[in-house]
Amino acid sequence: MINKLSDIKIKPYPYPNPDVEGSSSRFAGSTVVENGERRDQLASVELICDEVVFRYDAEARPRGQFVKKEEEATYKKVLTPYIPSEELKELVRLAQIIQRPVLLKGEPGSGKTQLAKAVAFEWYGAEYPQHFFEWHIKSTSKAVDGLYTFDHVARLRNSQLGDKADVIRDADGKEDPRQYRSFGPLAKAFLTSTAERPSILLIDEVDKADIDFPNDLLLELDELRFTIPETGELIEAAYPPLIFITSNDERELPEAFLRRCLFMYIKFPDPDQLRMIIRAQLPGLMEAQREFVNAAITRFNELREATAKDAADNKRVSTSELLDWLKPYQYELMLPEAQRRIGTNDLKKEGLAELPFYYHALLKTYAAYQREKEEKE
Amino acid sequence: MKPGTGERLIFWPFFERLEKELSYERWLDKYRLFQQALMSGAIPYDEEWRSFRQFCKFLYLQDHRDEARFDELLDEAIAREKAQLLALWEQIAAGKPTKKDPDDTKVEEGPKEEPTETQPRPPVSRPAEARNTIPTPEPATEMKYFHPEFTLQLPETSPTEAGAPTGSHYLHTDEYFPANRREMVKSWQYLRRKERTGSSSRIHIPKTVKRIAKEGVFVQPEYEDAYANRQDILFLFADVRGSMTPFHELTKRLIITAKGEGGHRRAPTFFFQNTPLEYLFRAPNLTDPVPMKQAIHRANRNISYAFIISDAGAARGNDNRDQIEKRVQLIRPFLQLLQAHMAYVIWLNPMPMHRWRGTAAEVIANEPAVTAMVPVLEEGIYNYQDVIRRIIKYKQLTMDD
Repeated sequence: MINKLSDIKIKPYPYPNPDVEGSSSRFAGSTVVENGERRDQLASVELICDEVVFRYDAEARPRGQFVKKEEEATYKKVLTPYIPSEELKELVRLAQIIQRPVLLKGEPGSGKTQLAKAVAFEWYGAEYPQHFFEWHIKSTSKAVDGLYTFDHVARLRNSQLGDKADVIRDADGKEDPRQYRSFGPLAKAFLTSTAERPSILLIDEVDKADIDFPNDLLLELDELRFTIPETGELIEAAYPPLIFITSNDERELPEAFLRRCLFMYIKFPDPDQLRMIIRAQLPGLMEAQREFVNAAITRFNELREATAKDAADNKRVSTSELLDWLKPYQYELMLPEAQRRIGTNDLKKEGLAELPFYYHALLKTYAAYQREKEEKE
Repeated sequence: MKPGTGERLIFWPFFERLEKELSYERWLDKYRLFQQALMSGAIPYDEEWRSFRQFCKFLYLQDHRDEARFDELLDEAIAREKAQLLALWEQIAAGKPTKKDPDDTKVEEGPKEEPTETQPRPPVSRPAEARNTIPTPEPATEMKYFHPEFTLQLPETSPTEAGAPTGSHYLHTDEYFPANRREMVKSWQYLRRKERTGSSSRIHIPKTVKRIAKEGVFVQPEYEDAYANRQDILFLFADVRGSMTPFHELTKRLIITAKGEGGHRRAPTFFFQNTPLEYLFRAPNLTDPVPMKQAIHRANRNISYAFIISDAGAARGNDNRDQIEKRVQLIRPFLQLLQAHMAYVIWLNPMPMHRWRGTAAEVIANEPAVTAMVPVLEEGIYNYQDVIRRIIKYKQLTMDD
């Protein structure tokens, strides 16, 4: 909720790469001047992230912090560029002002889940895992899982062991219940969020859980606080985190939940944007094989429309399938001894059956497979 | 500073139409958010109001399938607001009327805010009636140049101008029934009931503690029960062909929503023409017959609902006494069979209630075997949700006795 406008801090998205002058995105490896316009040359980023553990300290601000596990303990992470549409950029900006969760819908593979991670990376660079929290919803997920878990079994076991149990006690010798609770992603996002460094929370595939699941989160999303009955702690966010919620539309979400969200449907990108995505995700391919990539995009769009109309094939294909198409091709292209098995002309032939083998990734149902076989015969 | 305090609420008719046509609930807090965001200057201003449109979509659009209709409504609303603004501008340009009421200051604010502020509407918008009356009560000097006819035109031109350039007269969506998809889904979901299906993977703490206390040692945990939607709640019987032909699409959607998002995945569905006679059909083209008794063998006397989708003769409006009597005689055994095996028999009639009078529908609606006959298309589907709510309440009352 907008309470005091002056308190709202807006972080730009995309965020300029501090190492590359004049860039607009952290994915920019360099910038080039093309037709008098400065353009980012996007590339995958290899990050070296610190191994960290989450610490909760009721006295510290923010109350949740990440501490380095041990000296020099790091791990590697590779991120491929994410190219947001203008709409998405505006959405991220508005979401920071309005401070409501964002509900993202779209075909599978359209980049719903990737957006949250991309925003986190743009804002925090190599430190992004400390500000980005993912909560993947399963069919058995309960709302409380995202808040905290209380290890009742351990407590039970300790109570059975009597004095031998390894129990943390307070000054009065009473067992401290806080040792059994651990925080879920929602709580961590609340605890680490500050006005300067707001956390980003991704609630992925919210429609997978029971229909009442989103309703159980209403208060937490509204008030950004909750209590843990077992320990009596009040967990609240000092500053609202940016919350992304994705849904595949398998279930109608409850009205009360929808009311609290901003909504956006991520559409399939237009050819120009697709070319940008391909350029960023598969560097070198576009430059080397422009004609082939254009033919692939055209063909892909045709097939996409055909499968959309076909009642038997209810699988919608999206950006990620197109990238899957092009990846093996690029691999073959890179091999020096490789004979190019697919030419541009292969993509121009009519019908699915005429496509090279691995392009059948588009076929998702047995019915479609059968039809494709019949077509061949 | 609240925009439109005591006057016209900006874009309010747009939200009313969203509720009416797309069945989005009219959320007041979102409307407040909308106003606040406009006032905060967070929405950049451009000639085509592109950012504003985008913002409205983020805030209100819930389903991309509604997008085409949503765009239309928004275009109309924007055109209307623009026309009203323009009218006001002209009024100001022609010579600002002097007025002693507090509204006056707001008119002055308008032009000053426009270049800097993103949306100039909030301060300058005023009620149509107020605008009409602006010049009349004041005998001020400017009023000589301010012809009453001119101001009277303003509110009238705005709606027509609004409609002309943007509003297309074609429907860009297939949601043309008074009862739309979302409403159908919601009402079917309302009928879901859960049943226990084995145990889940979640440990039931109180039970486990009880067990330890009983056995003295912790052997294994007790698990919570798992729940799933019951599959014997809903039985659908759809009348097809003949007078039901125009309602085939409606029937289809009712069935699809019930079985899909409505949560009754395996609800048995049967078809018949006019009156079921011994056999019902599994396919809408009246093939794959099933004996009536077999069709309902899974029904549960305590909880099952039979939904019959049929006009019951109301579409043709046949009021011949003999023929009505014959029809009711024919259908009575079917209804009695349902009554014997189901908790409720609900008849969904696509014809409005006033058309039932004098036809077989009226007679059937009063049959003791029929719990209720509800017009599905009259005021959306909430009608029958109300009916069901009442039935459940009644049932609870009688059970308590």
